[in-house]
Amino acid sequence: MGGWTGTVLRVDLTTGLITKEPITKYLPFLGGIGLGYKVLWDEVPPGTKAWAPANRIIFGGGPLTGTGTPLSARVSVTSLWPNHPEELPASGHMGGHWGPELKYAGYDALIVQGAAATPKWIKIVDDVVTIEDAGKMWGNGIYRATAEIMNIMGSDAHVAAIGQCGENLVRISNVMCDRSHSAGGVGSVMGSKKLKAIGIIGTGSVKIEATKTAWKDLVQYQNTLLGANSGGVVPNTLQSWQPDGYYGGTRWTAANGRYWGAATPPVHTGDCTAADLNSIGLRTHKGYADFGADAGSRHTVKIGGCHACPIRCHIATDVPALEAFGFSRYQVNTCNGNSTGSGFSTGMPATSTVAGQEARIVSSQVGVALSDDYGWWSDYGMAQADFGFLVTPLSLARWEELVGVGAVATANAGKSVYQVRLPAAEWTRIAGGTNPPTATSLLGKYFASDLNGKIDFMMWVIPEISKNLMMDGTPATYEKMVAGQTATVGNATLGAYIAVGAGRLEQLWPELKVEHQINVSGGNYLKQGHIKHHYTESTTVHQAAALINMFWNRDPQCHTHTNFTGNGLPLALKNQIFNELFGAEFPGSADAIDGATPAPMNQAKAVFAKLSLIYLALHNSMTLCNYTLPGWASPLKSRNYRGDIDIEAKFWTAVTGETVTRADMEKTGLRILTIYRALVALRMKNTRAAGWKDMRNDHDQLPEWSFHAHSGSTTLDHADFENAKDRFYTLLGWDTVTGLPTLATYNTLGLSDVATAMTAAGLMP
Amino acid sequence: MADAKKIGSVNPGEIIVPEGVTEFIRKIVTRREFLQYSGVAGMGVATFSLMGCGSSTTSSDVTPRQVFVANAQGMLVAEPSRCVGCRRCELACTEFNDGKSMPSISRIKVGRNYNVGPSGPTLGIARQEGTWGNHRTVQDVCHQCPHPVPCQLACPHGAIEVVPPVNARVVVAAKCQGCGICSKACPWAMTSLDGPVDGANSKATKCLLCRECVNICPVGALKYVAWQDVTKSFPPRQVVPASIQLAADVKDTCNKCH
Repeated sequence: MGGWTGTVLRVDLTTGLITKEPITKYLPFLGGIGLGYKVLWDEVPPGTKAWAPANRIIFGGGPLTGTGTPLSARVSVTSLWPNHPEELPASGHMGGHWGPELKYAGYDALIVQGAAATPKWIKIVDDVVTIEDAGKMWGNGIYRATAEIMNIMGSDAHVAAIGQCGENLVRISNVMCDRSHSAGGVGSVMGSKKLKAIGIIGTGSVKIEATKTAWKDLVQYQNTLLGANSGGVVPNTLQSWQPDGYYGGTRWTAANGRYWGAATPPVHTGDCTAADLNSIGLRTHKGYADFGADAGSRHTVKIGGCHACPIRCHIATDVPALEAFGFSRYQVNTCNGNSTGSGFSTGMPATSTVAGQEARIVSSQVGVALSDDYGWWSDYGMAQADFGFLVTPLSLARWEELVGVGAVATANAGKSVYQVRLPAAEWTRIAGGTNPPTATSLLGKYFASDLNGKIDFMMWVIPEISKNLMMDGTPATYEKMVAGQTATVGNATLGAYIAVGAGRLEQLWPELKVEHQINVSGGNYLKQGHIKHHYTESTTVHQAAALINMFWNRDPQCHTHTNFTGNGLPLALKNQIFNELFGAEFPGSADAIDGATPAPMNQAKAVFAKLSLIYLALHNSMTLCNYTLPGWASPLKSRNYRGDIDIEAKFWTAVTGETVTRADMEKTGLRILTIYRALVALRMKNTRAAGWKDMRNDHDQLPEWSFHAHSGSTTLDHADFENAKDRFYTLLGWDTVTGLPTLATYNTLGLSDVATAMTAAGLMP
Repeated sequence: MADAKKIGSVNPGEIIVPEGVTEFIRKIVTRREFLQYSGVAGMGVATFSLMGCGSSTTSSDVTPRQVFVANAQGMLVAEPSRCVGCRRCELACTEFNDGKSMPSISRIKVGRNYNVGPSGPTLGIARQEGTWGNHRTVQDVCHQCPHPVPCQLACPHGAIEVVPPVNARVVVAAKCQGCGICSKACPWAMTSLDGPVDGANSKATKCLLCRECVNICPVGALKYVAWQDVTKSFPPRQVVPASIQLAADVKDTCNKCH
């Protein structure tokens, strides 16, 4: 059968044993996150902690990874999630070329278990797999690990590595490959296993069952249907080739007069028509979109990204000013990856000015140079959002809001939470001991209006987070923080309080927990340690987005919903397409997508949420890029802007030779979501009272601020959201009282073994 | 050669139907009729058929073989400052020609330069090309060398021929024995070996100017143009050992013309 290599590679770092296993039992789960959750279900019992040797970290491609299917480069990295307060299962995902290289080496997935006594890296050269010493590599960043491995393996090796953040058990840290591709959240799992890196050379092939001509036709067919990054199917500016004059709101930002200005020589993007398949990769001028008309064009070398993707979305920059700070002038990243460092800067000049754009890109790319070397992951910006709140002096009224009226609020008035909570010696170290901080102190530089000061702060704070130390200089742990803090003052460094993650910090500092729920500072905490991501900020699918955000144990990294609602077509047309494609599932319902006025929950919205998550699960298992799909719309007027709802099934069929329909695919997606749900519930039950089975309320929470008027957010209504949950669980075949899958659903999905275990655990509705 | 005339043109500036040429070339390289298509007047292909004269000083009993001296009439040109590193060219090359995804045997080579550029990893990250350096992604293309064609002359089995109508230098699979010598003979390391050296089913392969890569490139970083000799513009990637530069059955035939 095409697609899969048929082999899963397993490395046990405790015993040194390397084994190869057949993919057979994982086939119903495809690969990626599906395979990862199946491994956790089978092998990692409830009660296991993320940093225990018994935890697994599973790097999973899928049948499409490495086939050259457009958008098929990603690898999902599944484990117990260190940043979750209960270390429930979750996945990071990274693009680049590492995942395909694992397939070319002959493996669908890599499972790592155990822990080495001393630092190691795993070397994979096709069928030869060895565990190598990483003693001298340890303590260095991702850049050095990659350089040293390329010197050993050759410059065509693809390397996934952790930085000092993962090594030192920073709960919000990543593993990165191919310079700019980050699987967030899992870095410290590798760190706990003393696994520095995995280097791969794969010279083999991935089989495609379809004939050459049929395959070429299918690939070219999909190319005609693609738009730009984030699902945009119309240009962002009015361009003469667009037959109906639709434009705006997309990342299709190529245009006449816009250049990759730092290419040598500059490359014109121009008005890229839908018909010109040799300019698909020019459409998304992400530099222009993210860094502004002036700086974005001037500093963009090219738009890079992943293996086999024609669209491109990683902004490769040339910012000469970086050299003054000791960094390479060449950096690359995209979206939130471009603010993992610069999120620690405040009060930058407005980006409506050229000077403001220049300052922002300098700050951003310094941040990238630091984050992507230290392996610092910001929890999709949660860390900086909390930092911004914690570092800002608060008025008496604000303190009373956070801790109640009384002596504590009075004593703290005018101080920041950091000033109150950090040990005095630490406040002296970072602020000069005063309020406001002295001008020359680190926090003084943070608050300063000049770029140099902000960069000084960034250059201090990211390494500081990576050190992750208690005040006594020992490695920080949450348990030490709990044990050693007084009622009012902590015992760890600032870096450690960032490294411990939002979910634990709010347990340590109750005022943060209150702020997370009321969200006056705009940090947008969601639940269980993570931030929201494509949530209620838009009216268009706010209830579906809420369901999507409650579902996981990290920020959802779901773009199925926003890629369709943000495709740039008129609202009526979007709803028309959605109704055509899926209307049989919600007869008589009002439309799924709202305009400026949010409408009550309805069945179409519930179907939208269900499909968003099913396709997210499929994309993260097949693997395909959820930052561009779904393919429900296209740029082609000749198709009335319709895409092809069956495109995933067509590629699966062509690659594997196994005929599948969209219904088959969605059933597989539901199977993946359901085993995930069981996995999570079983773990939650392990720490709760006998008889507990309330996933609906205990896991599927939203913060209280979501239900009150809040700037930049569509207000949810409690009753309306409970209605949303009812519909959503029903569509998934889950019980509405508990939010747990039913016996019938398990059996329909071929998960009767899971059902048996859930029944025995008292988790059957 | 009526078929060839219908399908293509030997006029370098004229666009040739890609599918027709591709299939024509594929037919040539998989069947043994290639000899029929050489030396036909009016096709612009010239060969010298050296069948060995008594006065030759060829070592041992090696029969001199045909050396194809006609220049190619088309070539690929790659623009690194446009290349975005998606490697869809490598994927199209192998998927649309070989029916599998196997970038390691791609006949256009980008992956090997993707990380740090052609100079290798020792210059220090950030001081070189590629994704880890200045973002410049160099695509290596076959220069369709003029005579003396290194891969052709090194092949001990005469498996590399010049194929009309555009005179691409291609490996004839039926003659290839999978020895891998061509991979060592090309100064730019542009041939690939699918399988282990001397493997029973191993075959070499190289760019046949099918232009699937040109068609698939999402940024137009590849072009197909009239051929000219650019070999001196591109520094070699590897040192070619003298021991393999000329196959035994050609080395003593140079003085037939020169």
